[in-house]
Parts: sequence; C-alpha cells; structure tokens
Amino acid sequence: MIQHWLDQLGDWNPQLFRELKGRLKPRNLLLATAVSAIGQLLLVASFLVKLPSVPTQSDSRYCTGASLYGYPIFPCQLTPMGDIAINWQLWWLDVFMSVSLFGLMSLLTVGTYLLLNDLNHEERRGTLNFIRLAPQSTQRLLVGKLLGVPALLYLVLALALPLHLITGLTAQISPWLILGFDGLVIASAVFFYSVALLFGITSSWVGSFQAWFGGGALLLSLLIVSSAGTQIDWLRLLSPTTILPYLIPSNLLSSGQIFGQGVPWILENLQPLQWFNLPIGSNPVSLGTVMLVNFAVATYWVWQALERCFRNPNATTWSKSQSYLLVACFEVAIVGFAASGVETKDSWIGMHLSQLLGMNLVFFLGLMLAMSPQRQAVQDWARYRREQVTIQDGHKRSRLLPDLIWAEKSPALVAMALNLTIAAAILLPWVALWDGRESDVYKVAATISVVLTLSMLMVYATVVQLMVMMKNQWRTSWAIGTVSAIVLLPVVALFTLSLPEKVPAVWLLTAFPWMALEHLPTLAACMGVLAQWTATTVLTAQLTRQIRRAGDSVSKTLLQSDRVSLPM
Amino acid sequence: MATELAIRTHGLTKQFDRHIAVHDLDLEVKMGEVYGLIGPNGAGKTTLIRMLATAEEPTTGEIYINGERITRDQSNSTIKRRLGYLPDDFPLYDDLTVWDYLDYFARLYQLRQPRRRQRLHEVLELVQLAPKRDSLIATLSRGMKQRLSLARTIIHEPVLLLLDEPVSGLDPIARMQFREIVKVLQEAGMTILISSHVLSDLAELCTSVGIMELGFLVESASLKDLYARMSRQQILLSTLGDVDVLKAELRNYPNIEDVEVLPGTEQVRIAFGGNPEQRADLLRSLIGSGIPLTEFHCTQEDLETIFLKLGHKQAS
Repeated sequence: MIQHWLDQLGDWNPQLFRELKGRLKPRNLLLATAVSAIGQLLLVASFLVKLPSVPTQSDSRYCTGASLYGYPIFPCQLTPMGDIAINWQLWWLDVFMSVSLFGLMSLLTVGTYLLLNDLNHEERRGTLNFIRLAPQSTQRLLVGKLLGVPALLYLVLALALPLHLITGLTAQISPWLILGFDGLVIASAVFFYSVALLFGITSSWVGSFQAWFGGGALLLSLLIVSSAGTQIDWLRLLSPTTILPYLIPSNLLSSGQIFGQGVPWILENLQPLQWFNLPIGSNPVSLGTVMLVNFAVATYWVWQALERCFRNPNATTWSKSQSYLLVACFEVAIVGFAASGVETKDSWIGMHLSQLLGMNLVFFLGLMLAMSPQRQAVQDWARYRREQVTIQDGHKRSRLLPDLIWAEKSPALVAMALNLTIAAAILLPWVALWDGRESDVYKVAATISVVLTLSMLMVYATVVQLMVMMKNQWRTSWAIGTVSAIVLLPVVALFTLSLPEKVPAVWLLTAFPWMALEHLPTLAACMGVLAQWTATTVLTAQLTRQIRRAGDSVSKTLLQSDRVSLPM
Repeated sequence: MATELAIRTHGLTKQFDRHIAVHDLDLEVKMGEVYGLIGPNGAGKTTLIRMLATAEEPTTGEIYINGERITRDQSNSTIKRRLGYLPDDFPLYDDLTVWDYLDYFARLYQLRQPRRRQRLHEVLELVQLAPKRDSLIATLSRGMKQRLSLARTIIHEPVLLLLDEPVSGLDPIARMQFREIVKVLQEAGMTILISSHVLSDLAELCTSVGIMELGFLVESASLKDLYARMSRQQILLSTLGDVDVLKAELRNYPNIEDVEVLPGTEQVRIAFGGNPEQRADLLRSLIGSGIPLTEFHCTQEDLETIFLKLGHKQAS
C-alpha cells in the first residue's frame, strides 16, 4: 500500500520522491522523532517550573488574585484544600504561545537554511544542471525541493502539532483561530521558502556562506519585527506573529504577553491599522485575509522570478515588462497603508512619507541589483543587436528605444527610469490628495522629497549598472558594496562631523534628502535635483562609452590595435 | 531536408567576454551517424555540445534538433526528451543506490511502469552494472560511475546522444567496455555526437568527424571521405638482409613517395601512391631482385596522422 502510494507520488513529482528517498531513512526518522519529543518535553518542563509550588509564595504570573500595579503578576490565593489556586488557562496560553512561536521560527529559519544548503550543494556538485535539463516544469521541480528538502523538519513540527492544538484548545482559543493561524504560518513558509529558492539560485557567488547568511538574516528580521515591532505596516503583514494577539481569549487580554510585550499595548497599535481606509486591523478575519492575500501576491512575484532564473541563472530576476507591474503593485500596497491618518502627524514632513521613501529606497536598491543585466548579457546585446533590426518600407529601423524598454539583455537604465516614473505617478497623487491642516505647506515639501529621492535612486541605478559591467568576477559584490557605501557613508560622515544642521544642503546629495528640507529653501532643493541629474548624465555617458566598447567586434578591436602599432 | 538531419546549426556563436568560443558554426549531422568532434583544448567542443544539449544559451544563431528549433524562451520539453547529454565531469548523487538513481531519472523523463522497470533492467545489463544495482553510488569505481552516467543518459531512449569526453581518465579496459556500449547504441539507431582526444577510439566508432579549432569547424566529413582525401597508403617492409640494400632498391620504383627506416628495427615504412596492381608489381619485383623479405604489410595513415597533417596539434 505504502509502496504503491510512494510510486504514485514519484510519478507525480520525481523530485519530491528523490528528496524523500534520500532523507526518510530509519536513522533520520528516529532522530527527528527524538528531537521533537525532547524539545516538547523541555518546553513544557520550562513552564512547569514557573508554577508557584511553595504554599508560602506570595505572587506569581499564574496565581489568581487581582493584578498588582497593572503588571501581569498576581497575588497567590489558597484553595480550601490548602493548595495555591492556579490560573491554568493562562499557563496553557503561555505554553501555546511558546510552542507556536518556537515552531514558527524553526519552520521558517531552519527550513530556509536547509533549502539554501541543499541548492548550494547541488550547484557545487553540478547535479542541478541535470535537473534543469529534465523535461519537467520549473514549478514541479521546485515544489519537489520545497516539500522534500525540509521533510525531516516537517516531521519534527508535525509531531509537535498535538501539543500546539491541545494547549490552544485548553487555553480556550477558538479552534478556527488556531487553524487560521496555522494557515498563515503555512502561507508564510511557502513565501519565505520561495524567496530562499530564488536567493539560492541567483546568488551562488555568495558561496557556502549562503545558507547561514539566508537563515540568519531571516531569523534576525523575524525577531526584530516580532519582538521590537515595526512602524512599517507592510512588514508587519509578512510576519505571522502579527496575528497572535487576536488569538488570546478576551478574559486573558490584560495578562497576555508576546515576546515580553503586553498584548493590550500590541493591540492598541494593531487595531487602527487601515489600508486605503479599510479597517483591516479591526478583527482577526480581516487582518488574516489581508495577510494571506499579501503572501499570495508576494509569492506570485517570487515564482515569476523563479520561472526565469531556474532555467537561466544568468538572466535578470524579472524581465523589464514584469518589473513595471511589480513596481506598481509594490507602490499601491505601501501607499495603501500611508493613505490614512496623514493629518495626525506631528512632524511637518511626516512619518508616513519618510517611511514610504525609506521603503522605496530599500526596494529600488534591491530591484536595481535584480534588474541590471550582467556584463556578458550587455556585451551580447551591444554586439549583436545591430543584426536585429526591423525593415519597414525598405528602411532599416533601429530598435534602440524599444530594446531599452523591453529587451532581455539591454542595460536597465531606461527601465529603471520608467519604474521610478511609475513610483512617482503613484506617490505624487497621494501627496496631492492630502487634506489636513496646513496641508499645502506639506504638499510642496513632500513633492520635492519624492522627486529628490527618486532622482537620487536614478543616480544609484546608473552606478549599479556600471559596477555590474566590471570585468571583475566579484562584480555583484562590488556593486552591493559600492552602493551600500554611497548610501551609508555620507550619512555617517554627516553625523560624525555634526554637520546635519550646519550644512543641510549636503543632505540633498544623500539617499535621505528629505531630512534637510526643513532647513532649506525650495530653490536649494531644485539645485539639488539639478546636481543629481548632472551626476546621472555624466555616469550615463561613461556607461554608454563602456557599452559601445563592449559591443565592438573582435576584428574591429584587432584592426584598431594594428593601426596603432603600424609605423607611420 | 532539415527533418533528415539529427542536428543542424546555423550561424551558431557563443561569446564569453571578448573570447569567441564558437564562431558562426554551421554543423549538420545526419540521423543514425556517430559523429566525432576533434580539436585541441579550448577549441569550443564542450561549449558547442552544451549549446546542443540546451545547457548553454547561444549568443546568436539557430539550433535544430530533428528539424525542431530550440527556442530560448521556452522549456523545449519535447526536444529535451529526445536528448541525452553526458558532460565530461558526470556528477552523481552519492547518497542514492544505483537503482534509485536511475529510477529517479526515469521518472524525471516520464517513464511509467511497467516500462520503467523493464528499461532500468535493460540499461543496467547494457552497462554491466546489474550486480551493483543495490550498491551506493559512493562505493563505485570511476569506470562504473562513468557507465552509470551513460546509463542515466540513455534511460529515456533519446534519439540523440551528446557525449563530451566520455572516456577521459578511464583505464584501457573501461575504455573498451565504453566503446562496446556505444556500438550497441549506434546499432539501436541512436545518433551520437562524441568529443574525444582519443582519436583511435573515434576512428573505431565514428562514421563522420568534425575538426574544431579556435571556435571554427574547420573540417566536417564522413570518415570514408576523409581517409580517401587525406590518408596515404603505407607499406611496412621487413628484411632479413641489410636494410640499406632494401632502401636503395626501393628508390628504383615509381609511386614511392617516401621511405623511412623505423628506428631500432630492421623495418622500412614507405608511402605508396599506386593502386593494388602496382603494389603487387612492387612485391613481385622486390622478391625478383633477391631481397629476403619477411614482411610486406599494407596500412593506411590513421586519424591522428591525418589530424596532424591538417596542421592541427592535438593537445591531450
């Protein structure tokens, strides 16, 4: 029966079959079971020791008296039998929260590590090429990896599922809410695993450090978003821990804690959450639905990239036409969160605008690296595009502009300019629609901030394209290093020299030009834009020269060098 | 016409930075042929094979496999089912057994039961690994691993086999076993393109050869044509008498283009331009003139000599 089932599974997805065959061996299964059992025992034991055990104990988190000083520590009371009365519901709730958080973190970070490690091994061994050459769809092959590589981790967590459900139900959490949370965890795993696959395929230059880097970065981000919280609403939607406070039964709201933070305080920040004035934070169903849709859209975009990069790891992550839609999607998503509550700001530029521009900065820096074709691709395009001309009415017509907007291997500058224009086309109407007190003053400053930031991003895009055109084998690392340096170093230098207030104009030449607008006249800001455009023009001229040189035929180069060496 | 060809390329070019690895290459390989690709290291053989196997994207140019064009933006799944590609480094999964490894690839190439089991047995028999079916791949010798890789390459019964340096690093017995397998595959009707530095192997296996140099295909012809055009007839002579007397006597005959005494022996090798009748005359005359001949043996110049005669230097 099992053999027949496995055989059918193998026919449906040979990759999954291979991964399971390599991993589900008796020794590994035994080890996974032991790890899960010991982990659960230790976790429950760590909560058992927190129970008040000595009848003389005056207070505890799990005692039943009235709360002292507003903290979730309660005076202990004795039962008629002489024992300490214990708030078991709260104890079960705390165990449930720990099991859920621990399970979630393990699932996401360990799974990401395993996937990256496996891809790295396959790439180094050269076996990934055989899989690429097989007549199977990319989805099927990668779904096989996604389900098969962390198979033992799934087993460890599946064995902890009864504890998760029992603790949740005993803490009187609605089973629907528990299942909804689990659904979100699965959606987040699909998303983060897909990102891991994409990172693994496109960043083999990171080397064997890849798996530690990916897993570590994800763990750190999740810890920051979950424990410290974030003011960036869109990021909150990417962490399933966001929904956890809604699972807590109403009678325990005041005592509930997640990562040491009081649940009432978390909910106070979460419940006013709106997206284009839709009250998505008002209840768990609306928040959960939006989170699921957010994961679905984000996963869709990652899979679009996987489709391209798995077959050809040298291709840009997204095509130019895909990037236009992706940027529009991203801008609408983040502007939706900023669209409400503008008038409540205390700063004149406003926190929402700074956040929006900050997120745009990070997003576009990533997009530049993803979209800039490597040296070889640009060289091929420059060398052979002359052969691809359309003949209309007997005349050869150059395809330069359509090539720069749509073509696969052309430099990404025009496409980046279009993407930044799309961002501006969404951000500027949002600014124009502000209607708060003194909104006109804000509007001018906000418009200038948007223009300055986007035009600075254009400078960075040119630098990135120049860097990935380098002959150096480590050009991607150089591009990341250079852009990080030109984004961060000026800011560090400004603060170190205590210059922000003394020379505010310098801010206009950094990635955070809105920081200086408070201290500068509009004319200075316009001069800043002019300076940025001049920088872009100079860098573009240099890039064009490089591309022309790269596109010269070998014979032309040889003839030119011959001419130079001939005696006159 | 294109459908009669297993491989056809037109203007195929691959450029790595300033280096053109394959340059405007037009190749035609007929169905059922065993086509040998010769050339020094860096001539572009591996790049060409990788492009034919869809493992590498051409910079420009067209590739047709069985008349169907390989397109860059599609998965080419029909073509991939027809191709079998064995790279020179043949990576394997050490954690699987021989059977599980082949079973995995059979499934990847959509072979269903009971055909899959039957095919696995067939290829294991062919590559002489049936007794090792339950062994872990990590425990196999290099020759066995090479044969297992070949089994993986042919598990889905491709119509075109692309073998890149398949015998490099193998001992003479393993090479011989490999040659025998390739002969069986050819008899089964597969078209095979094989690159190798071991020209004696290619001469034994191939029906046609192509010579690549600096990314160009400088020669592409059937082996028969090549021998007819380029290979001189040679006669090996041994005498019980003085070899200098034999050498002096040979100077009196027409059609003898070159006389060479093989160092350290009493043998003389001559390049003979005449037909079989003239060859018989020569033998008769030498015996008539009293030379005590013990050997009169006709050979042809081998592929390696032809290759070197064409001005190429085989780096192996």
